[in-house]
Amino acid sequence: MKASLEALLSTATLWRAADREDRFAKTGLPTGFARLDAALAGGGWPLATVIELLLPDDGIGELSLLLPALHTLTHEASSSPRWVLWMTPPHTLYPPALAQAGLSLERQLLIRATSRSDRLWTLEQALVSKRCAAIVGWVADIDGRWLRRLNLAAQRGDTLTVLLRPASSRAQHSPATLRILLERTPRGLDLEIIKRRGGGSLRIPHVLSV
Amino acid sequence: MRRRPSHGGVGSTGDLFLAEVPPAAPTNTHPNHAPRTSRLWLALEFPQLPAVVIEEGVDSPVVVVDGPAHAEVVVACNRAARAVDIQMGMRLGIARLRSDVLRVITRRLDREQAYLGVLARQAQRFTPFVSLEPPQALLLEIKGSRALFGGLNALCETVREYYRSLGHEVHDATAVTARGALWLARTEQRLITETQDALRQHLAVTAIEVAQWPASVNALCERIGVRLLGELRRLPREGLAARLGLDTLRTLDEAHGDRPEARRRHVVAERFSASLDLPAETHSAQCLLPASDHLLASMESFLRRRDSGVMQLTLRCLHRAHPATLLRLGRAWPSARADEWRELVSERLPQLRLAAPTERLQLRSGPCLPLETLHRDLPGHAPTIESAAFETTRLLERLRARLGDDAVQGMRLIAEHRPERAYRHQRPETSVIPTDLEGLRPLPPRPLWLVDPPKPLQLQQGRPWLDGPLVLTRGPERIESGWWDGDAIARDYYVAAAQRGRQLWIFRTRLEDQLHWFLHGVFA
Repeated sequence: MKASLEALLSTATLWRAADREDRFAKTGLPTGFARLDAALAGGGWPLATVIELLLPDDGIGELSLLLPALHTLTHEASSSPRWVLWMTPPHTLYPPALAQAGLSLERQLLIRATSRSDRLWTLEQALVSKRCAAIVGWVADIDGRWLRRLNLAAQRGDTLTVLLRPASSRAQHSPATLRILLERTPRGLDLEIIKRRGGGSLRIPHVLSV
Repeated sequence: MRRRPSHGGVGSTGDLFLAEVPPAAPTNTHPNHAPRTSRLWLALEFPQLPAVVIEEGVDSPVVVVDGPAHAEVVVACNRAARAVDIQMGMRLGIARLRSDVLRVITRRLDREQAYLGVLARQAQRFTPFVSLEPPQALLLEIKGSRALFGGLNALCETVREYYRSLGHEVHDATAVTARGALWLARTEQRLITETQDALRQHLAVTAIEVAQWPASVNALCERIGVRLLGELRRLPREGLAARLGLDTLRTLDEAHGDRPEARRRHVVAERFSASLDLPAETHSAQCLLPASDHLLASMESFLRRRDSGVMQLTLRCLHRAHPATLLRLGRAWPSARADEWRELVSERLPQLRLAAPTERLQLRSGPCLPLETLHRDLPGHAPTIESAAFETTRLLERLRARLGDDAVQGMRLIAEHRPERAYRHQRPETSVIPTDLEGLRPLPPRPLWLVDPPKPLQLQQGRPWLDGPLVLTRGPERIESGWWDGDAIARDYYVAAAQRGRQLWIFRTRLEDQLHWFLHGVFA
């Protein structure tokens, strides 16, 4: 019995959920926050998949959480630079602040699409074009079918794909590999990881402190 | 006195052009260095294309004319006009002398261009690569098609016969360069060449008029006694560049294969459409799957022949005495593969509510699109630089086409102290080297969200208030600017801690002798 179990475990085709040394292990993009990196299977933001950030409110630190990774991506050495695509931000994204964070502005692409279908279509086009290093999209009204579609499109490339949704969508089923609920407290930004590769839920307090 | 440019003709102006003249052709002296071409072009010129505006079945003479007023020239005519000895190239005045009832139509280049597109679509049965050469020629890349049609001569004969059967006169020629084939076609001698040497031999004895250069170039050649392309090419290049212009020289090089010529492929919006009778009427959408598989398989072979894919398709379930039920499917990249489409169909079809029993299933595709090489890249292989730049442009074009120009923007900084004017949106491809932005980096932190226009804040107990008291944590930063353009500001900015730990960017300003607080940003 034990021998057969070991034989089974030694087959390369078996994927073990608890095994951190799997094929995802090297694909993470460092988030810039050590405690968050330690909690993520690849040591950072997973690429080629959809990441969901769930927000109780706008402007609580959701952009600051992404800036270090975006900084890395806008300085990737490449003969043909890729975009950071901002999909219909709910407020005016202020370029001087992006520049202060060290992002190169000539690689930022701001899209303003009014209808839901235009927004989702744009995200899908941007993913399959493989010409975006990162996509940050505000999609409050996305459904499960479109999430699956975008996740499939994301798998074709290696784009950092972050969708920002209201905290109320927490209960919805989602194919996203990583789901994080953000919460602002007087002492800083708390992260509650709802879903991640190779691990259960986890709360990381004060990732950004005041 | 006329001076031939060959002997000492290159004076000071010649030197001026020297730097810009493309490198001399490595032709006769170094035949081994000649570029190895891997393409073969069939040029088709349709001399009667201007006649597209003449209705068919008219018995009275009709001519199409082009040119300046009072100097119009006949560019096409119908059979009745030819019967009274009206010819192409004839002055309109002379043509009028031959017929009292002559109808004259002005040339319509837009109609010709549209019709050239129709001819291009027909040409796609011979090769997937068809390029338009307005006003009246097509260029077909036929290297891969020769074997299919039993050799080069047989292919040319088939193409010629095909267009003749549709009622089009056509002049054709083949050559290893597109422009060379076009020029040979204009000699109306049906020259079939397969090598660069043969092409050059024929071009050498061809009159320069086939190039259709501007009249000034032709006049100049006449003055220096040059009639043939071969004579022209024997003249020193610097002199040619100086006298005829670099464009003329470029086309000459392209025709001879000394310089590659970029040609744009004509994309034709073809669609696949087919339908199938079901063996028995059915109420269940699930039972339609085998029929849809069959249709998808024929679509795949249709698309494979055209080297294309589609991004949309529509399945119509046709009922007796009931409007059809539609299922529309779309994907983000063109695909020809039946199995990829089947995946989508099998996901959506079973959910379809059929209003009545289905007796017939119809499949209609969206426009055929070329399968881009990038999509055929092997997984794990980085795309090449060219295809990456191409994809970038294509992405921006697609987004603009659907969302509008204003919805797709890049951003840049402006050297300006007023915060709401310190940036500008622009077309994303415009790369601007930031000038005079010093003094920007040392600025105190700026918020990621700008509240624009600034939102007035309430005051309670003399303190700014937003769902609770705001605690000033940093500041003030005095910004005074704009007095010169009538939009002056004098503000004291602070970072303030709000409820639930939010960080706000607020300012205080004096309006009508009173202090007011405004919210101008959120540190997101």
